Amino acid sequence: MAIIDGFAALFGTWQPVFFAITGTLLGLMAGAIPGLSASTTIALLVPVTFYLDPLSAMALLYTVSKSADFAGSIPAILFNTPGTPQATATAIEGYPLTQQGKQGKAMKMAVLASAQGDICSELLLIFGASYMASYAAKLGPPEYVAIYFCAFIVIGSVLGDSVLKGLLATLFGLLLSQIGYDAITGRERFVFGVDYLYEGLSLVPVLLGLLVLSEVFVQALDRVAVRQDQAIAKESGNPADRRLSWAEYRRCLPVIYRSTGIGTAIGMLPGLGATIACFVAYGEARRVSKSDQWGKGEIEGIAAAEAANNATSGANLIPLLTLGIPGSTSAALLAGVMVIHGISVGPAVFVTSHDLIYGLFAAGLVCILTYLVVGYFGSGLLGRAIALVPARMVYPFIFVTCFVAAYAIRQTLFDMVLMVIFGIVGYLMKRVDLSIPAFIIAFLLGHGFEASIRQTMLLDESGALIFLERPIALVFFAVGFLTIAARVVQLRRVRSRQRNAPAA
Amino acid sequence: METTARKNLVAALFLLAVCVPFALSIGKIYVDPMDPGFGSRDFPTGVITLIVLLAGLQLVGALRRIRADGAPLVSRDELSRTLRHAAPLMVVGVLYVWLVGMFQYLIPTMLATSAVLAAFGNRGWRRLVVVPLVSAALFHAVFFGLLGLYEAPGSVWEYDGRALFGWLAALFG
Repeated sequence: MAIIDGFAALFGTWQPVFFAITGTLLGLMAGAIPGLSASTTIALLVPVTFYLDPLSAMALLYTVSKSADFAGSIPAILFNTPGTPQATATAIEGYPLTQQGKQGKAMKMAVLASAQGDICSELLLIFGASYMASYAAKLGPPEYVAIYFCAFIVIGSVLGDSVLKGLLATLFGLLLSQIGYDAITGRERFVFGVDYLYEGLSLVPVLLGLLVLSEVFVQALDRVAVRQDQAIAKESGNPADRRLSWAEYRRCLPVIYRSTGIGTAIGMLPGLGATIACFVAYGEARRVSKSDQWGKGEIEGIAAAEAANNATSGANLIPLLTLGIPGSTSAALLAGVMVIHGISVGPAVFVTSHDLIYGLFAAGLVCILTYLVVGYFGSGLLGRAIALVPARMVYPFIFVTCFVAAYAIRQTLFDMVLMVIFGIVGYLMKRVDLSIPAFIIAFLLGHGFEASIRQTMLLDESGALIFLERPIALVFFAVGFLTIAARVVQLRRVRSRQRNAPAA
Repeated sequence: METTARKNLVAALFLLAVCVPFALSIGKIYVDPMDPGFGSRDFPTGVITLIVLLAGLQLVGALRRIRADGAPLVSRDELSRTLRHAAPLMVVGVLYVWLVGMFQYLIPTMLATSAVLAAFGNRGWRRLVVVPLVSAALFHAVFFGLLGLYEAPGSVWEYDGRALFGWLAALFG
């Protein structure tokens, strides 16, 4: 079995497993600090990965992303402040349980549901992704043009409240991806006389600026509006309130299975992330349930939200590994690191980097086991420890760290300048609701999209008519157009409901 | 509704402004005369055209809505919050990079850490002096000592008169 090769690669030397566990612990801390997202932490860690072997580098970043997905539930349950956006639904049921002194029970349910959702999703990745990749490997440039088009449309129109702004963010990413050498003619484009731009905009300063520095600016604006320093409600003296009984866990099992299915399905689609998955699963669990405790501390609600949001983490890698299209910001960052380490992103990766990819999957399983143990026995302790770290001390250090991180790649001051520029651009994008994930994904895929179009045009003299002879390409084009139409209709309905609500 | 329209307006103006230098340099892109299909100018031209079309659409829509609501074009509250809280940090960021070029890593990092700590509401000599001093030394040891990064020579420490006063000479002739 390929996964055994993966474990052999992971445990072959001490570094990969060490960095997998380190990444898990870092992700637990990052997820538990409100305002510090997994993608921010990953962006900060990217420069460190240049000093590591490819498997250690990818294991570090992948495990940060996985464990942060779970850890967001800790402050959501303890302080009613979700550490990550995907933990918002967990707070609805988790915090009332804390107020009743049952935070131990809530956090045990959160970690069990998270681990279960995560394992199912990881197993699908391990056993299903290579089959999907073998089909994807048969696709040619015209199909890839259609797939890129579909991904840009889906990501651009689904992320955010405005289809137009989502598409504009995507186009902005595509435009900036054009800076640097043209891969076919070897001549420069849009370098504006700056020598450093000949190789294009360096990925790491762009990511650090957009994801990390801009977040520091936003936090300064909001004067770190996180409520970490509040006291945690006193835990109940009744041991039954602190434990999760077998009966309670068994009652939640159908919810966990259903939510895992929802999370995995949503995670496979580019652009639809853990936040959407947790709300869909939470809503579905609430619809099916007969309990009257919803909103007052229903443990099934925690199980639904946590199983779904963690079930997206493995499934998110499926579009990246099978088609080369990252479905989320974390997957985009992982793709960037793969490119930097010379690993080809796409279906061929299962052949060219077999041990590395299965080593990464094995790191995912080690991560789940680690956060299950740490989370089950130490969530409360971690929550209290995080509460002691004032956010006004955290952000200044993130500010200084991202400068040296930007410098570390090419060791030029130009990259620091670039990061500051993109920090300001990212701040502006956040304030005007231009989607940063859509920008990043388009920026990463811009070259591939253009190359596919140019290869397609060289394939046949009929030009764009070649797409009519390719049914798979037509299906992807149709999905793109249908998605945008459906999204426009949906947003119009929401707006008309909002307009009618005050009148009613 | 008014806030959304204003955000749409700023987003559209920003993207149109970004497109200007790109549109002006599109003619400078080399085109291979033997290229039979989609050339190196075509993709960026398509992207710029789409941005201009969509951003133009958004701009018109936003202006119409703002006019219909009778709202001011600029939100003074948003602008003043940005200028008071976020803009100082942006300035610190720019100054920090400039100072690193002049004085190497250590001193600018201490100053920048102290400034950002103050901007986030930290007060007292321990937080504004001791913490930046210790943390800058620690950062220096980790990145330039342990990880072996090359430290750019500060122009002041190099006593390079040309680098230091070159811009003054250029300014006054």
